[in-house]
Amino acid sequence: MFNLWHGLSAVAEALVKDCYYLPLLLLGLWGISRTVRKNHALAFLITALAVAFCWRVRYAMSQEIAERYVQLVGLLSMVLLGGCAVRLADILTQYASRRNVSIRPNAVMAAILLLILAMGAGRALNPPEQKKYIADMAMALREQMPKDAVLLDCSGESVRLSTMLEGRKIISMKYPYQDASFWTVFLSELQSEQFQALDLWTVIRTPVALPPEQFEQDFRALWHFFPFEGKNSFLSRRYRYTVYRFNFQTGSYKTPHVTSMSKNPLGMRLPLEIAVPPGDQATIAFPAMFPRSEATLPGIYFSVHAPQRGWTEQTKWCYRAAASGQSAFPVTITAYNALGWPVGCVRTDIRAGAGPGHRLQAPLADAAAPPGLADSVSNRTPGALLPLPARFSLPASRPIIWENLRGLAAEGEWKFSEERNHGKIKGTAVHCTGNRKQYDITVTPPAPAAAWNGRKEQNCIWIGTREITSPQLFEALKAKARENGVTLNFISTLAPRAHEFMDRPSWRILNLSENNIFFHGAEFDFENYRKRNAFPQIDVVILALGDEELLLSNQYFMPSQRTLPEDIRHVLSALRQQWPHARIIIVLPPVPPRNQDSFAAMSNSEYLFPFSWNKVLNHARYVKTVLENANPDEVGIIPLYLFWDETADWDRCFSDLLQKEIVSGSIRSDSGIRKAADFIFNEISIPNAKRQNGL
Amino acid sequence: MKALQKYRIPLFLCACSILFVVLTLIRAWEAPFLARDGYTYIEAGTRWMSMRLGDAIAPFPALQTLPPGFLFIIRGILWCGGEPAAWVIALNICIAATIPWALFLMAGEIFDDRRCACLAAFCGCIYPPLIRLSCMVLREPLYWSFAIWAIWAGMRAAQSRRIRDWMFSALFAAMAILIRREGFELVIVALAYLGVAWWFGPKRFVALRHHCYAAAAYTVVLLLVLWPISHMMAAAGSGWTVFPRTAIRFLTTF
Repeated sequence: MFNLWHGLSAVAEALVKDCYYLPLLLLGLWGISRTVRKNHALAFLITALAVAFCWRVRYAMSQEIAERYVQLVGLLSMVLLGGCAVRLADILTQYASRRNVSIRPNAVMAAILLLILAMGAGRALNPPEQKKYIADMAMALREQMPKDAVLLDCSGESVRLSTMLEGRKIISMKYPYQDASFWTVFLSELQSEQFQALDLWTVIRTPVALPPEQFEQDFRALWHFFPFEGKNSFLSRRYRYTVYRFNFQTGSYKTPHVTSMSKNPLGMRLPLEIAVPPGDQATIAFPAMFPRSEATLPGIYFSVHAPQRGWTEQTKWCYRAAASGQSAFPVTITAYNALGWPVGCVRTDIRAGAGPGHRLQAPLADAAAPPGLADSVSNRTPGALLPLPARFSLPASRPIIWENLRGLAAEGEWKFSEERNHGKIKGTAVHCTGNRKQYDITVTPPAPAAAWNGRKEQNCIWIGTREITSPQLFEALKAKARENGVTLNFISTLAPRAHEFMDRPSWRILNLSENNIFFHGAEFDFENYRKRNAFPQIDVVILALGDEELLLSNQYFMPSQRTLPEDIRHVLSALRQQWPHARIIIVLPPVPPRNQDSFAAMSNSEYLFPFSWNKVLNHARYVKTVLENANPDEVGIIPLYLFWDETADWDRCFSDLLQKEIVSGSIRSDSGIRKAADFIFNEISIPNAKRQNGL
Repeated sequence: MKALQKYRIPLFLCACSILFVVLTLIRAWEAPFLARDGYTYIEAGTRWMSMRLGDAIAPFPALQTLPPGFLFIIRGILWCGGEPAAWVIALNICIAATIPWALFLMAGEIFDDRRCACLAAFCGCIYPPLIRLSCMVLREPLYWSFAIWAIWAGMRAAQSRRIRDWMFSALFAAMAILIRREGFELVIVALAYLGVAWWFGPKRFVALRHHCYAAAAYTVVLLLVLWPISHMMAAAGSGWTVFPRTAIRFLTTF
């Protein structure tokens, strides 16, 4: 990037900008030899000039330099300029006398002095135009931004802004826009500030070379909408600074803030108060909260906040009042769009055991929901919007999960033809739009021993820190293997609190690579890890990243969009390089919990209460990235998200898989773990294609 | 009138310095805010008042290897109870106001005509970057001052061949190194000049002794000033060293 020419031009540009004397210098240089003494002092000065100049050129070759860095050269050349100016005065006087023009030498000298003074002082006192944008930006923010608002500053001018916007809270973002960590940190800050429901402003600095709407484009690419109002834009020499106000309601649906009874973004409405007679049951059907005219919104889902009261079913919330006694409590229902952003919120007070009050209004109670909305609600399953692997295996004992697969088509319909040829079932997806997709879903018989070429002992490495399910899954997997007469030797899992990378609660596969266990220098060193654990070879590698890595990190919640595919490819290629014959399996985690209570501690705002969009999207992004980057011929993929039950909470995440066994209590003791272990064991038993082909 | 005639050069130089101060103050009045680095220096200096240097500069990666001179100045001002930004700017202006004098002396070494030296001083006092940066909390004005005085002393030493002048040059170079890392270039200038002058000079064998003495004196003064400070800073947790490896690598890869 930087070469000698770049260095020379950078230094010359910086010098010329402030060396008002250069024309004089050039004019007088030819005659300087007549006035200067050729002595050792001159030699020393020339050495100093040469070294200073070369030093700065060398510096400019290695990195961008500030203009002020090169000015010592300019100051030193002032010494020569004195001689040049005097010589120039002499030349001018001689020239004038030859032309028979009478000019006094002192007058020429004075003119040169005045010229230098005018140019120097003019340049020195010229207002700092290049920094004017900072003052303008601060003025604009001071005028428009409320005093209690928060400024998420990505301009790199936080210190100056803080002095000019005294009293306002400014959060400084240190990552430049094009840094890979920018979006991670930016969205993390955005999220944390939104938990407090504060008025949020931001200043985004983008290079001038990028189009003005670059930020909007990038944000839309990530989140599919743009919840900012653009305010002002300021230009510096290299950057464009744009002030935005964060407003996701306006950004998503162009509607004002929500109040209890006013129409909110989705036009949801509930009466202020609902009276439930003693022993009677109240039901709030979610679709009925919407006016018929409302546009259909596929993939919408709801979260009900009614502390320890009533129960939620897929499309409604129910509450049965006690036969005696009175109670009153608020119920808040929040609607989320398909991306997990809250788009509507209503609140009502339930008065149980009271006399007739404001019952649910008939039009609302009886109203049929708009067809599209009703369909989207009823058909919605947790797997919606998530892609499906081109090939995955099912245990022979549970070949059919079509009901779950159907849910993958949020906008269409799925039809599957079962063709049991050579142990394969082919599923064909037919979308409403007429697009067809075909999936091969392999049902493999449980014959691990044969698949492993008779080897009864398999050495596995488990990369995953899923706090809740992993250890149990891990043990269940070993038990399942024992049942099949196979011994699975596991290198211990990377428990979340046992490793230093979890001290910084961020998730990226890169973090695994930076972990000391794997990472030595610039490359993965899985082999060293194997040796340290005294394993003769590695047969199976299971990458089972879960919520801890992907979804529940408090601060750095979002894997970088730009580095995630690269990270995954990096890990996979490193694993493949180290252990070309090992079976690699990626366990895609279940959909993160959407139960409001799971996130109750995270926000005080009813509207923003669960704010689970980050987790849902992180999950979707991870799944999508894995499916795009992992070759199904080489990597086994287990999409655990297919087995998620929408209405169930975290502890029941495998309930659908378990033939509707809703297990009370913790998943740790139920058979769901064993079923999940079956899936993974089944996948392990499939021989690696390369190994099978002798590659 | 005769006295005026006698002191016209010092008076002219005083006028240059005053002109520089006036222009800088006007510029300071115009400037809406300090330079970004200035805030960092002041914050680091303020933190240093209450904690170990290593901890004070820990949040600022760019300051890990910062030469300590400027932080010493800020800390000294804070210790005296002064407002750091104003006092650092005042110090910058005062020290930078000596630059026209140094330029005059330097030009005097190489020009017979006094007018050349006066013009050099005049051009220096209205040099725009010098005015612009002297009203900021930045290290440049101090560094330029020390560097220019070091080069003047070097020019004088080269001309007079006096060891005392080399020692002066080394003293100023050491002060420049304490302000900015590239002060190291002054050492290179001196040693390169001595080497080149010896190689191209007559009677190499006879001149060798003088050049060795000069180089040794220069180095000794430099180390006497810098070495103890370097040790002190290392003990305090600073990453600054007199001859950092990065600088040596930087130069050797040219």
